[in-house]
Amino acid sequence: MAEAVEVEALSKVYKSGTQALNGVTLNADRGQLLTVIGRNGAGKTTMVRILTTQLAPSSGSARIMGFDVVEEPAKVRPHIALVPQEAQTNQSMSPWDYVYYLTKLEGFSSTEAKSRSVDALNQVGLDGIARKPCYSLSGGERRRAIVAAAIASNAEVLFLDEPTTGLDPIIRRQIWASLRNMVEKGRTIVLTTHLMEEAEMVSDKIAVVDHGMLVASGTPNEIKGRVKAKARVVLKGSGGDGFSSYGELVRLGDREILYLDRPEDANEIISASLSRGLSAEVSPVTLEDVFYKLLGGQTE
Amino acid sequence: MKTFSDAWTIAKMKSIPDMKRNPLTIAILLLLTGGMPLTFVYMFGGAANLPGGLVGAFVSSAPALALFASAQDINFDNYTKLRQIFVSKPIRPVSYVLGTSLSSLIYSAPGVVLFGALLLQRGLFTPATAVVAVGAMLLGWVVVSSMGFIVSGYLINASPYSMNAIINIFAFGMAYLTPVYYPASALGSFAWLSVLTPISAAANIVRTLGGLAPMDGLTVLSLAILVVEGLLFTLVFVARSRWREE
Repeated sequence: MAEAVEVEALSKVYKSGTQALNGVTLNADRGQLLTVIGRNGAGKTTMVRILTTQLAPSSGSARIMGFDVVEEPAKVRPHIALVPQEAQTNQSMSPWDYVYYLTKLEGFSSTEAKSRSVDALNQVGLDGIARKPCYSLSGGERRRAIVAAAIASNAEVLFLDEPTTGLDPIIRRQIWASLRNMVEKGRTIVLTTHLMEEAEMVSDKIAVVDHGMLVASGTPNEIKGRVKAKARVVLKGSGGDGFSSYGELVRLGDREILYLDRPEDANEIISASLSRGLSAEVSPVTLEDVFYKLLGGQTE
Repeated sequence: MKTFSDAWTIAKMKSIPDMKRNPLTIAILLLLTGGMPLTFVYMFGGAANLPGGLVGAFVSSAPALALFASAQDINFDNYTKLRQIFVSKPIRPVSYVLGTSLSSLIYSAPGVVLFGALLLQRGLFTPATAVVAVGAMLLGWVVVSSMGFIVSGYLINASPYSMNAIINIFAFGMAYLTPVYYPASALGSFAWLSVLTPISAAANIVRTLGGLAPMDGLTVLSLAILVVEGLLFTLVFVARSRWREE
């Protein structure tokens, strides 16, 4: 059985000459949540647009559920649903209108489309305000309506381009739960995000892209294993300079993050910090730390 | 069959919620497509010119809105990313185009009914000529819709503000400058120019049906050119229509 998403040496050079993708190869199995992370302009959205049959690649190939996105777009489309980045709802529509009409376009009967819409709107917590016009809703509520439309679809592969941007943590977790429920039921999700906590929490697999190239891919733990540091100490207050022999020290204003190659050094550092009047917190390295290190901590 | 049912769903999606929640929009559209021009016709032309003005309001309501729907609406869908969502669904581009055009017809239905009823009430239409007049109006609607889609294809990445300005200029030219609210005979020896633009060509036909102009070469030419334009612009549009960007 074909994998849900197969991308082989995919490249895209826009007419302007910008190389958005450069030989990316990756895949997602059926029933897997693949998260693509990368800085702004890394090529994530270009990849999503090619995979959802909107944009032609310059070279390479991509298949969704075994169908080629360039040669067989009409066969790909019944299998996919998309939440585009920065999508907006029509202000006069209610979340119900938005989800119902888009679900109807999947080919469902009115009864089935209504039932799926109710279910999807409940999943994103919009059940109480589903009939209110979008102009009276917050940006986050409107965003949830767009996510609900993808959830209500029958698509086996969902592409969600930064779906939780601008949502509060409570709703974000509600959406994470919906995503994981869908994955449990066998749907495949390709998610792009800037939220490392989100990537770490929901992903089965992560792909890190930068400047159009795949920098790393694997499970969250495999990605975290790509860096030498295993623990970090966040020092509040200045004066962590003396600790630089323990590992890399990164300054964030009046705070410093010390990446420890040997976690056992943590106790020693905490004692020394307290004696200097610094507050110190030890934790395992996060995906965000790894992302920073993999991409060289360059500013954009 | 799915092509048409998808088009109908898109048409409803793009019209019903907006009409339901902003009924005043319908009143504004009626004012713009009929009320305002008729006021000027009455003020400067007197009551004698009102029947001709009503013909203009009747034939221009749907095509003028079609121009906005086909160009501006598609540009707006691009901006809100609704177009991207449609592309990723099992929908054919023709359903999207047809649905967007039909939404303009739903929107303009109150105007068409109102101005058609006034023409019937004034005795300019019989039920039979009313049917032919609706046909002529729909032909104009088809041509203007296709023209709008072709324009939107070229300006797909224009900002909604630029598109708004361009379409307003187009609409002003086609609905108000050309002989839609006034007879083509007012152009004298240039009356033949009225057959070239779709709304004025439809107005020529409807004016003849209402007994406001003789059945002459201009009427026949208007019908012939409307049909040819309808076929031509639809073919050009279909040939150019595609979902995927290069």
